[in-house]
Amino acid sequence: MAIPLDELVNITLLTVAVTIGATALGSLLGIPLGLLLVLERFPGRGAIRTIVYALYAFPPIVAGVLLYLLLRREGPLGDLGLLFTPVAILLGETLLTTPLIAGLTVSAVAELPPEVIEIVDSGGPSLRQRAIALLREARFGVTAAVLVGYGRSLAEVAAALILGGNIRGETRTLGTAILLEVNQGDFEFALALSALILAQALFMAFLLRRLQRAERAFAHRIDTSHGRPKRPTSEKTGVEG
Amino acid sequence: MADLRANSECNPPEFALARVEVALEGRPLLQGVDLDLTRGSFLLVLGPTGAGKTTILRLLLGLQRPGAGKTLVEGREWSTLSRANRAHIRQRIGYVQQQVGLLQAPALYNVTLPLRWRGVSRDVADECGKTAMASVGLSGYEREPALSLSGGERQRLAMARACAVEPDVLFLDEFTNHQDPAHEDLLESLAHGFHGRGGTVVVVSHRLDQVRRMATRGGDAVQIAIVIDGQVYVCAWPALPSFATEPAGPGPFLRRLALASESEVELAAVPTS
Repeated sequence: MAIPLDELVNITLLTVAVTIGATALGSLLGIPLGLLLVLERFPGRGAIRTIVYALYAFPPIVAGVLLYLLLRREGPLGDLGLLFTPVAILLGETLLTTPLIAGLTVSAVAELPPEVIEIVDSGGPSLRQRAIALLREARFGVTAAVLVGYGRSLAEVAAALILGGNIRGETRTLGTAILLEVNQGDFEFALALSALILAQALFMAFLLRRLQRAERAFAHRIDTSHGRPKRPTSEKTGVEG
Repeated sequence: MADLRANSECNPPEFALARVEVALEGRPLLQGVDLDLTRGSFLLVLGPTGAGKTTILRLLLGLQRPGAGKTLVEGREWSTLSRANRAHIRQRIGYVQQQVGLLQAPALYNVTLPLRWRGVSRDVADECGKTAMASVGLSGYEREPALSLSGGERQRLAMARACAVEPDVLFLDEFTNHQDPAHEDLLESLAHGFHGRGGTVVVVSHRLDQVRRMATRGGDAVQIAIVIDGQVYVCAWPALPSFATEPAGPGPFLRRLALASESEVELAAVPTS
């Protein structure tokens, strides 16, 4: 084996931690940003939306280079000493997940029926109450956005390599470890590591499928509900509408 | 033509449209519409499908901005109000949509959410919600997913939601669609009861039989607004037959409507004094 088992466990745990962290941070930033872009009108909204959509395809290597310039010793954030640490990788991955989650949140909320948005607005909610109510309505789409964000950062290589440096025992992730094994010609082990990433990807696909099934089951319950024999009868008039 | 603004000095308008113009995809829908709604009034808005009746309700609620003109609430333009002020005013309004919007949640949650937004405790909100649901014949449906309800039940749930907040104003847009006669009567009774307690009511309908029934029950205080060809013609209910004889404006529409329903029986039933 090219990598000892305990080191493999550490690499996997770091990868999972960075991915979950970047997804969580990307959700914390991206969901409110998406809600702001879809629910509020303000100057520059269209331009920001265009930028967010453009960043869907933000090349990870570019994100890595930009953050590297900020975090390097001579850079404006150099004093923080974050370069070549897991935090730097986390920031890089967050840069990639945030626009994706924001953009997909915009789509999920924008697809809500207009009468639902109207009835929420007509009830006089505060900004926060309105956002929560509509987020709850768009929960399936927003959850899918978060899962897609997770997939975006899962074992990403370019930014992780530039910002983390692939330091053994410190910043080596599954993605950068695979790159190293390929460079060293150990394709068998590279494939084994790839299987670990694929397992995570499959798990995410499983979660997405469960989500879709839950949504379909919900819709099915609605479609088949009419004429249910056990439905209560109206008390006041004794008639069903 | 009688005008709701006639007594505006002693009873200033709660809601008003001033020279409002609205276009829908480039097609003019409302052209220079004036409408004043005084506190405690009962306005029945009648007009053909697509005339802009729902748009008028949305303008009054401040949910839609006009292309030109002003939409006023208590003398102030909706567009100049702060978010908090808009929210505060809307919390006094109960709204039943033509196309009812419901949240993907239990029926009771849909009814109580506006109450919870006002800081009402869950227990109190639930009690109010259950009472409101019972008043529209939906007892026992509290835990049902709102979207599993039939069209008529959804509309009654929307009425329960509108009434649960104990509003000062009710905006009801085709609010008895999909109802059998018993439930139609029930909902109309709720609207009349609300008006009897001093509330302001606006009912949008395209059916002359419903307008006649509600106007007859509401008495002389009821005003009719006919929306047609981008204009709004307002009169007191007893003056409606005189509109029907006019060669232009709402006249042809009212005659067609009367002919379509029981050969002018509807209009003949309108009181003449």
